[in-house]
Amino acid sequence: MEPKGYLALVLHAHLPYVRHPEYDEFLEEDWLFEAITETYIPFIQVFDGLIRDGVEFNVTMSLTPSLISMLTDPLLQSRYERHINKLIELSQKEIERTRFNPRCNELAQMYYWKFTTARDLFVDRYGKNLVAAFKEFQDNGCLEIITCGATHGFLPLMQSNPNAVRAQIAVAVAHYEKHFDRKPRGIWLPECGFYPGVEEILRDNGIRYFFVDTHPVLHADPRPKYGVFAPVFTPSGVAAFGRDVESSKQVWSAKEGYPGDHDYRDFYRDIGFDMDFEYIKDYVQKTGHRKMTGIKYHRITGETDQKDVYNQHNAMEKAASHAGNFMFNREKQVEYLSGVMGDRPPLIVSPYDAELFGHWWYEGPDFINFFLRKMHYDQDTVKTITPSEYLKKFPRNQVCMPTMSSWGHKGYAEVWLEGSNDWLYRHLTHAADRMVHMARSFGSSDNGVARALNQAARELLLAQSSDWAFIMKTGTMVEYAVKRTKDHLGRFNRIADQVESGTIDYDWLGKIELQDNIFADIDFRVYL
Amino acid sequence: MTKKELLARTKAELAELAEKAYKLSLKNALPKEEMVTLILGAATKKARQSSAKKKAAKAGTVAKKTSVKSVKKETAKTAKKKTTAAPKAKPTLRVVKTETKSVVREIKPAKVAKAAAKKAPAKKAPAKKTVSKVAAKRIAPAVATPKQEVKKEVASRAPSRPAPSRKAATGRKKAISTPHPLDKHVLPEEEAVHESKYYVAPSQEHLETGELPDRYHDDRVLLFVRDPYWMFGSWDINADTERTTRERNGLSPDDCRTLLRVYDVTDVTFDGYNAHRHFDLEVGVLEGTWYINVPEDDRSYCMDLGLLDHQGAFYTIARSNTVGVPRAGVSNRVDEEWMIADEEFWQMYALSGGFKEASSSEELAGAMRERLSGETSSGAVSSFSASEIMMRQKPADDFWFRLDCDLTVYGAAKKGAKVTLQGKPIQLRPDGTFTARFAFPDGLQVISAVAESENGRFEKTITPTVSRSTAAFDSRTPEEEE
Repeated sequence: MEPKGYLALVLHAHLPYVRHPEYDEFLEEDWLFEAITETYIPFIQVFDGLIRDGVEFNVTMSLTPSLISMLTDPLLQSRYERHINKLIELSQKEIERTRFNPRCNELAQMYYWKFTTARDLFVDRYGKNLVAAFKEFQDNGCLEIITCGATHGFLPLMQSNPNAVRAQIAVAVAHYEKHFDRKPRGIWLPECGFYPGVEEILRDNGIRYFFVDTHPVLHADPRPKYGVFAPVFTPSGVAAFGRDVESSKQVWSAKEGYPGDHDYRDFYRDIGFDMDFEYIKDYVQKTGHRKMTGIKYHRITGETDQKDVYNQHNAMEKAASHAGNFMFNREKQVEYLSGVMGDRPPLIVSPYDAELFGHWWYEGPDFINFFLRKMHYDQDTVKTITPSEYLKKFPRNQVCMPTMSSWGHKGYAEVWLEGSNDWLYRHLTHAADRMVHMARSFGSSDNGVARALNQAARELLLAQSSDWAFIMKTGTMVEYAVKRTKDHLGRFNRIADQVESGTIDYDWLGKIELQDNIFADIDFRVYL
Repeated sequence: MTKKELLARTKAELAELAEKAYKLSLKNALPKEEMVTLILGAATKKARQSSAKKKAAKAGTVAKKTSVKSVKKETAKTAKKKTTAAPKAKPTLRVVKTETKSVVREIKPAKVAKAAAKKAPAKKAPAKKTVSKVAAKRIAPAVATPKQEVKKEVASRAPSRPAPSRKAATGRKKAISTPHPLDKHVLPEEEAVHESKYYVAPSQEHLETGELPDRYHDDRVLLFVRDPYWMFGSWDINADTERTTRERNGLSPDDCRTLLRVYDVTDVTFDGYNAHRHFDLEVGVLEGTWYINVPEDDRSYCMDLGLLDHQGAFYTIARSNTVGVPRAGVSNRVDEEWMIADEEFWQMYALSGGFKEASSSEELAGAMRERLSGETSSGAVSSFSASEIMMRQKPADDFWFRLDCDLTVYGAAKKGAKVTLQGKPIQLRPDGTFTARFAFPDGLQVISAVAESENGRFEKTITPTVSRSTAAFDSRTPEEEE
């Protein structure tokens, strides 16, 4: 029986490339470790369970090249193993410590269980390489993995140098091929940053679809017949899928969304901050400063300082009920839309940051688990689908040009171009121009120069990561973002000076290659 | 010193030597071989540097100092590999000078006051200088530059509407105490979830890092698109280029003013003269950045940095790239092949955007505009932003206070004894002592501790009983004085 409509669930997993071999441990590497423990491994467990139980599902997932690079890096893999072992040890101590507090004790045991199964999955099942897990799911047909900009550069702000945009895409596509043994069919534009012109670059790299926010489709030229409920072809033939607001609202919105529910786990009440220092000092920073551990005992409770103890059972019941509610709403939405649209079944595109599920909203992966199961067993109105499958079913679509846009606050470029971060762009543009110039002028020189140019390309790509501008704007770990920008651009400029003057310091170059070792196979000629 | 001689030393001696001679701190965990390799590497490097220094000193330039950081095992191994597989090295190695500036720019995050992005006719577009300079603690105070002069000019002009402002940068502070996560500022924007990815702990100080060049003098003018009504311009003109242009046209500095001319070049191949219209921004400087308010959305713009003389003639010095600002609303064109009536289109629009379906097109367009300008209240059209989740979790009172009790039970028994607390065995240290720490909730806890001797013949029991009850209350001082 054909469904009345379709749902494309898209999970965008990304972290900037953070790897500091020059230190024994480094705070910002925790971003990766937390996401692995709370998001990526739980999702692998969810997908595993669905396959084992014969639940049919179709999910699209983007894994950015910088994230893939970290997940496949031996140093970071071994550091994660160290990290999870420490957490297991801490949870054991917590089980002991909470002996007189049965509700917390129950939770300590829960953490012990979750951390040990995480370690087993990581080390034993997948040999510390989680990308292999996702590849397996894709090869089995239930997960479609798409690519993203090489280092998640915000492309609309790079458009003055199309070669720089090309390089972000080409390097990503090559990297994807290396890890997944096939070419990517789709791309998640970083921050959904689209500008008319980028679609030609996508087409040139064999990419067939991308995603944008809602307003670029609604404001597209000519007017889209189906709003965001069908994709549009850009003039170059690459399809644009626009975000549906209703389904986004239910997950993202504080007023109407799920994650803020009082039964869910509170993000901030972590024992890393709450516990007496003497007890917790081995599990926070060596400098003596506190940090998140991932062991949290409280639920949101309400707009109050007095948080209640988290009750896992209640939280799971809530997640299941929210999943049922989400499914019900999608059914109603599709039924209504199919009445309005008549000749085309509606497609609802629901993209989210992967890290929303698990890391921010602790019960998120369980919600997805319940949701996909209910979708499979409890109804026939809506079917999950990937954009590739949809385009196969519906190859004829309207041709429209979406507007320049992003899915960031206010819908355009302001998040990445405002008082705190606008100083970046003259430097990034200058470096990109210089890279192209060098590739043209020195490209045919000897291998030593090629080696330097490859490293220059790495430094440029790392500097272009939109995360730095984002962090500068939100103000959390600004010093780190500024440092990364200056480090990479500084190294780039130094390499460029050396290449142009003909005297390369190979000693120093070797050190930098070890440190900024992303994209081992990069070829600077992507800038030609 | 040869490798053999170094290997003959103890690890402690090697560590000392490395520290003294090469400022290299080697961890004890490293095997001796590694330490020797690292020392030899540092020695070679030092030799090269001093010969380079001598050469550079002759040539009159200063060699850049490289800092040596402590190297970890992983890098030590691979560093070893790299030195043996040397690429075709040139016979002499010069350390190249990179631009070092005496001024340091300190960038701090802004608590940005966002301007409402509404349509505004811009004959005189409001200007915003976005770069400020601050003296770093170690380096000489900031040199006065054209930027600071621009600041004064901007202040004297009455801005029609301020572009996003940036707080003046403050000096670097050492992070001493760690702010509690609940103290963290509530994000006014919707990036909380995005941002939670990066939240592990408040930022700590890291190593000093090099500075970027202040200027490039590359005669480049750049345009970036921010949204339908705003662009961002950046230019860096060489003084020589400006002088050449001036002299070529017989102008002295008093004859002309430096300005940005923004052209509407929609659908034309711009030759300098065929723009639809243009407007000028009196920037007065050869290098800077500017937020440019454009009069119309869905147009292409291009920008010259040039000189305007008293007769109104304009002389281009450099030209920017062309950019298109996006359409702010719905297109007027309807596809014949994919026909849709007005009413149906707006219905799809409402459904797509999560708006009320019965609204008129004006209401819908207005609601969308509001959403995109970030002005939505959480009541009406809700933004799908997770920052509001954070705002909800903010404690009801700004002032918070927490307290909890843990109970530490410690003791000792003769070596070899087995001790249990409430029936559960507890690990003794080699010296027979033990410490156990427990969360101590309200209520009564009976902690029976039993120690059994190694040979099993003796047993002693000690049972402390502890009880906790907690009273808590809020008091508030009245807001008004009598």
